[in-house]
Amino acid sequence: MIDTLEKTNVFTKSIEEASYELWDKFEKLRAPFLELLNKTSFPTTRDEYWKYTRTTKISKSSFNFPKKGNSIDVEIPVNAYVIYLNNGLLDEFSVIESELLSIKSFETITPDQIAKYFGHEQDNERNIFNLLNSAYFSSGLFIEVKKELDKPVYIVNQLNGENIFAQPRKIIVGNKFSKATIIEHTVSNNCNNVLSNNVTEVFVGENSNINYTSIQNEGSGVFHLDNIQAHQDKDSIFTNHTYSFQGDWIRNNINTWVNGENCETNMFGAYNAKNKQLIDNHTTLDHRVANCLSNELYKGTASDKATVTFNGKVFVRKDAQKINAFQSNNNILLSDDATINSKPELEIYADDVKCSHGSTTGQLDEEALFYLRSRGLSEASANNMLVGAFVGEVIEHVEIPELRDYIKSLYGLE
Amino acid sequence: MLSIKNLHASIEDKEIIKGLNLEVKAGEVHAIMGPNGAGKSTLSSILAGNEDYEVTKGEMLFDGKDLSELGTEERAAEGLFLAFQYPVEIPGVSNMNFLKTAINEIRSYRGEAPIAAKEFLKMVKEKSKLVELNPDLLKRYVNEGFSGGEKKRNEIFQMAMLEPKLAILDETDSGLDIDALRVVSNGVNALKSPSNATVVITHYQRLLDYIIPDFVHVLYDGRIVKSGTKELALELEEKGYDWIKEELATA
Repeated sequence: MIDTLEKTNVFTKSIEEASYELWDKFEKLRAPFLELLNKTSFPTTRDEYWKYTRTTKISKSSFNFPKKGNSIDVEIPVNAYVIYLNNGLLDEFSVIESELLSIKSFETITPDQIAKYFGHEQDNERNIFNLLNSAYFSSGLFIEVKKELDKPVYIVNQLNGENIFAQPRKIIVGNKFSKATIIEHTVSNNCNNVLSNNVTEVFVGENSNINYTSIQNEGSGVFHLDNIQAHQDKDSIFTNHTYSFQGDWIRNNINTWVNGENCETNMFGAYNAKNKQLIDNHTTLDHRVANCLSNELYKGTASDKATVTFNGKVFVRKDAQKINAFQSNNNILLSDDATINSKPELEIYADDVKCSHGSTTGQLDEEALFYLRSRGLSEASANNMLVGAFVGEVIEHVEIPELRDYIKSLYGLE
Repeated sequence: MLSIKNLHASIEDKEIIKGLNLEVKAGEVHAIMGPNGAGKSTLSSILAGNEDYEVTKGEMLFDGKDLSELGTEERAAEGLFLAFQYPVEIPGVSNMNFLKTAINEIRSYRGEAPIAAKEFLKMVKEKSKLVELNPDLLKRYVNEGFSGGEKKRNEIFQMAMLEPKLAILDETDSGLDIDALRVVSNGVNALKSPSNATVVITHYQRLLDYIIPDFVHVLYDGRIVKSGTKELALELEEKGYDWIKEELATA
């Protein structure tokens, strides 16, 4: 234990050496998290929440405050409000302010404006990465969705460097009756020992509909974490999509607190882990009140020596009656050396609910493979086609057609 | 075209095919009939390259090439086609994408350029008409939610698209009503040419009213025990298989 504490201190010390004016400006907001961080150690695999994902490589490293790197060409498949992040710093940002939408950087707001949102409710005890971001964010975006948007917001998250931490902070507030899709698309080039530790706080207001889609398309050399905390008010819809591609270390912590009645929550995710990739999705959904619906579908494959983990936890609290909660995680194991850990968990304290969860891990359908091959498809392309079809079921839920086609194309689907 | 000599094959050490001989020449239609469990579907599976079965003895030559040396997809590329008795449903894979990929991989095997999009669509239009297959079905996933008849039409449609040298129809008539049977048979007949051949595996004589065979073979206990012309099929329809079993017992 003392060992890990020391490691944390080494890590935070290397960060503190950088001085950053935003940290001074938001000192009061950061202070409680900084204090907590100093008392928190990096998790070990003895901690249930981190059982299958080691963080030792991160805690043993030292990371520097980032500088902007070369920009990376990214195809943006939809007409959108585009914002660029470069190594966790805002790049050529200008404020967006209209009757539909407001996007401001932390430089352009006062701490009071986000005081009630910043770190509002988080699972800090089990997730030191939230604390790291709260204490040492590298940039901040405050996105206020005022009405139904005319087009999505597209955040391009570019990574390009060595021994740096990129910790963008995003606060998204959906006002009453607003509707938005916010896409975050991570790409990288020539990375080595980069910590990309994202915290996104989403406040889904009454009767609003917020969709947050993360396309994790970085390459190797990046420790990528998406820490998403969503808070739903009554009559709202929150949808999260998480698509993971070739990054070699990906951990997603996605938490949703449903605080109001008549809410709908959707969580979708897909992954095809190859080589020595590690892709770990941890989701927690907390039904605190009655009359809500949730639907979760995560699907993917593991081949070569890859490791895939899914842990989906659903709480239905004591007075949260008439909850319909469905959760499903389906995996295909494509090699003997790959590992899949799947753990669906339901904790139900109410007695009038409809909940189901299911987890399957299997192989490709031999009959279907034979059928495809009998028509002339090589074993490899028959495999690809079936794997594509398998994860394709998740991608079908992407509502914007151009975005859906684009994500399919990233998986090599038509 | 197809020459099977003294074929023995087993699954999980149980011998199913026990010394089968069959010669099929270009331009011919052969019917293979036989009671349940005789090995009819096993034969088609083995020809298509199903690895669940092990060929223990004998040889299968297709245009002079040893089939057992070829993988399933290579057999398809060489021009062998199996219309499945139970076509599988493949959710998530669109019919069109699947067919286009199949055609292009076969073309690539033969050293040909990929099919042009326009040519492909023209072919789809033409061939789907042949088997009266609703083109809307082709936009859907492979066989998913298709009725029994639609699945069988889709098999013959695929056959029409891939233009095989040798088509093996495994119980294509099962699950078809009389109209569908006529449509499917018309499709098969329209595809007949002097350079290709068809092997029809069936339980009942009914299909053979529509697809007229040049030869009829009786498969029983893993071997072809009797061969004849189309009249043999009528005789089987009338008398069943018992007389053949008796003939064998006394022989």
